[in-house]
Amino acid sequence: MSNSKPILELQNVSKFYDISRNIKELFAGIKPLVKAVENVSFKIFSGETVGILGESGCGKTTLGKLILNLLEPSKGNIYFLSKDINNYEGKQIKEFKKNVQLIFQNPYDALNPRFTIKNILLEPLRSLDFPADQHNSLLANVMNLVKLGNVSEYLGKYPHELSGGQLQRVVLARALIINPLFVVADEPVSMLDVSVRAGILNAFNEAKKKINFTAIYISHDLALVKYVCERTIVMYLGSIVEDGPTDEVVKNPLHPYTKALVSAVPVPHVNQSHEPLPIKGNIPDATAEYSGCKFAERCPMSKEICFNTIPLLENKNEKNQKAACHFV
Amino acid sequence: MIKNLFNVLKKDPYALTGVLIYLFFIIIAIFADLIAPNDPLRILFNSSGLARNIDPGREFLLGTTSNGRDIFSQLVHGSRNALYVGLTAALAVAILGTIVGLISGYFGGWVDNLIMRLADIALGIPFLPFVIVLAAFLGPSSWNVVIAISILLWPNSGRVIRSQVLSLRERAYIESAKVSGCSNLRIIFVHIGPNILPLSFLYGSIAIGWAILTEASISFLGFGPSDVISWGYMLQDAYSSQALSLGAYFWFIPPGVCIVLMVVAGFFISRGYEEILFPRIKN
Amino acid sequence: MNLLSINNLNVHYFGSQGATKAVEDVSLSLKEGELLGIVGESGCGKTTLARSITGVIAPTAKIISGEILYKDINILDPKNKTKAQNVKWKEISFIPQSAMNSLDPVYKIRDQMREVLMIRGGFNQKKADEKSSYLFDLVGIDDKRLRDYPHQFSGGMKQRVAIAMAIALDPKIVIADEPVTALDVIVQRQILDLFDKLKKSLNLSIILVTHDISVIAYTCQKVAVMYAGEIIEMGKVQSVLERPLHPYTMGLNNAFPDLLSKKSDFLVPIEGSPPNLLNPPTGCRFKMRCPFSQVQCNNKPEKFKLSDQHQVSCWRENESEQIRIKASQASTWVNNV
Repeated sequence: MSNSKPILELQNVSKFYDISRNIKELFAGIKPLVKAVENVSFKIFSGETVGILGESGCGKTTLGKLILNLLEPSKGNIYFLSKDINNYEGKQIKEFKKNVQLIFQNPYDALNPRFTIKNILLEPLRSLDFPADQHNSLLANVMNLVKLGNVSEYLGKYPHELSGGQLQRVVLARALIINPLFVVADEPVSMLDVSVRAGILNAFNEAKKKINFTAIYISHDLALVKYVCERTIVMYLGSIVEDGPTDEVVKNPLHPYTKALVSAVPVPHVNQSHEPLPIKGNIPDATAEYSGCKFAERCPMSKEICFNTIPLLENKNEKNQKAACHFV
Repeated sequence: MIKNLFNVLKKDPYALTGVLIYLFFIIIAIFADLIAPNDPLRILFNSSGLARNIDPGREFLLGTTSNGRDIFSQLVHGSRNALYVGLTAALAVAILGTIVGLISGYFGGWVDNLIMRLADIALGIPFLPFVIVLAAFLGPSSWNVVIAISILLWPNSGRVIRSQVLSLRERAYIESAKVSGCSNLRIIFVHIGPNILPLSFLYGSIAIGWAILTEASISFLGFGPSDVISWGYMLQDAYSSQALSLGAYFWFIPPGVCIVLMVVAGFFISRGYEEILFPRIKN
Repeated sequence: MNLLSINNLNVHYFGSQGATKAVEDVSLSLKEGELLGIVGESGCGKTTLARSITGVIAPTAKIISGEILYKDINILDPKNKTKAQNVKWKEISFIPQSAMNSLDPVYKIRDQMREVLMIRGGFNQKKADEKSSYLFDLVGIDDKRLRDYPHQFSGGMKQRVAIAMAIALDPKIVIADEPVTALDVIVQRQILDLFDKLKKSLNLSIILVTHDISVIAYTCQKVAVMYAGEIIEMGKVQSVLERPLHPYTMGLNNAFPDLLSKKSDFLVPIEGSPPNLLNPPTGCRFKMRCPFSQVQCNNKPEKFKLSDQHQVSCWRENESEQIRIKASQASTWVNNV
């Protein structure tokens, strides 16, 4: 697998935001920056489903937008099919959009309330200049793929007439109707009821088997990531702290943050551990500067070197599990 | 959306009243020639000579003016002018305001800045004096009222539509249109446009009232055209003929009432449509 | 002795299209020092139920019938109006959903705490400040933060502030509506641990309303499962989770991803959606989606009480063993698996 070229590669990608300064900072010449994403590098190979896991403020949504070319990185390069996506000319941008699609978080907001379901699904075909004679067959195929039931029944309806689960299937169908190579799913089930989530996740998994696209699944819910993704990348404050096969990351987390995250997730069993979490304090200020590991101040096993030297993301065992920690 | 329009009328008695008032005046305007017994500008004579200042009666339903013109016919024909000025100005304001709001709100940056500064200038110009000056330069005509209103009133609707666009462009379905490869123009007119049309409609209906009031004010001040009958002209005529001291209430009250009705109808309709635009969130 | 008893409560919402039967014939009880969980999906009526206890219900909602007994006083009885007011203000406290977002952004936290303590509790300013410091200490926030504005707090800290306000007047019962839904998992765990600590140190009784079974499993001793306005199963958490009696509970278990499970476990959805409560179906409200429904389900199931407080509303409760086995198979729930 490591011999073939990755479908998506990020090299030292960072995204910074200026925030407004108060008077003190203005006079001191300080420019506070929010480092939404800092120095992120990874490769994704064709056919993988990779989970990007992290809590709010870790940069996972920003990372998704960078990959979709909705934002430009402040530093670093993003390569899709070996071409830098920020250096596209003219037609290449449309080609990119044919290949990379997004599944949204909020099904109630992701669809234009004034369009019928049919028009919503045909819109990507129209924007990307698919020939009109293909429209109907592509439509029928994708409706079957996401199991939206009787095709004609839904097409004439408006979004407010469908339930959350049905809407999310439409969102999934819209992303897949153009047969993309790569799909970014941003918390696709977090706004749905529990009994409905399983249906969407299963539809996603089955579609993936049939069309064989590569996917990134962004979520803060480790249990969901475990159900869908075979590889997981854990983010904290804009940087990657762990990257490895999901089963290993859950059973045998290497990075102290991942350990805290795994032990914090409640399970639907009665006898679970109520041990205090191996983590101190609260999420720190987003503009703080770090000369070493960002997690050091909350880490139960941090030592002096952690505050001085930034740990590199490196392979720590033969299972291809990487962690950014001096002590693993 | 048509279904929505009818639903609102059913639910809101104010909107229904407003629409009925408009329909009433539209019918009168269309059939003005049939309804009015005389040419409104024609000086009439009867057996005793000039038919001036006659009280309302069977021959002249609302009496005559000091110049011998039939007030009732003037009232009926005045509706044409009112509707003409009102609707044209409203259309101009709605279309201009919508296009400006869409472009300004969606693109932001220097385009937005430029347009908003133009809006500031337009809002800073005092309304009636400007119309008067325009009338002085271009000559009095109904067209000038329409032009003046279009130039000065577009910022109102433009700014509100712009702020609506600002919030709409952040919505997930607009982002998804971008991700799906939609061009900017298509997003503006096909995706965002339909969502703000109700607002355009709302401002349009308010603008009708403004336009009619403005036209009436201009005519009253004497800067309007003298060859076209309008309700404002009637008021000016009544004033300069000292109708009040003559006790000729039937001369100026009817046109005044008509103006009020048209303006109020516009506001009633916009009240009803507030429900469509800002429906109470059901969850 | 039950601290709180709800008997046969019915709450309807009145709208232009008729009455929505949001809460139907609900009965439950809460003992001192107990943590009761109410679990259900959106629209099942759990928030309406929670709000009915405190009286903070929407203007279109009406309590049709039933009684709510606090220490044997029926607080719904108009005869007990003054006593009921006291109960609702001081003895029972409510933390609404996204309470952390309802902190007034233009006042310092200290002023908002003072408002609660001085107006409702009759404290003077000095005593109010002392109590505020004590409360912050209890919920784990530095009392220097009293001088800050809400926007300077993180989500987890704002929720702690909401909890501090809720226990400010020493209530006996705290009702929390989805207190940890919007929080990150590490913060969530800290807040749940806080509830546990407060329960123990203040002998507080807590009703926790949520859609997350895992949260219930972590914190509560007793749980009531709600569906379409009714409590369809209730009992000790261990019994309900490990030996569920109602098909809906079994289905819910299947739909919950479990971190500890094997990869091959298939998440099974429950097809369909909850019934419209304007015209709820006669008989069991789950029958349309239930793979085990039979003709008898057209009659409303009785509440069967089993040993150790486990109660269920299902005609086939005596076959629960076999049904549980079938329910654990994906093919029972999904037609084309």
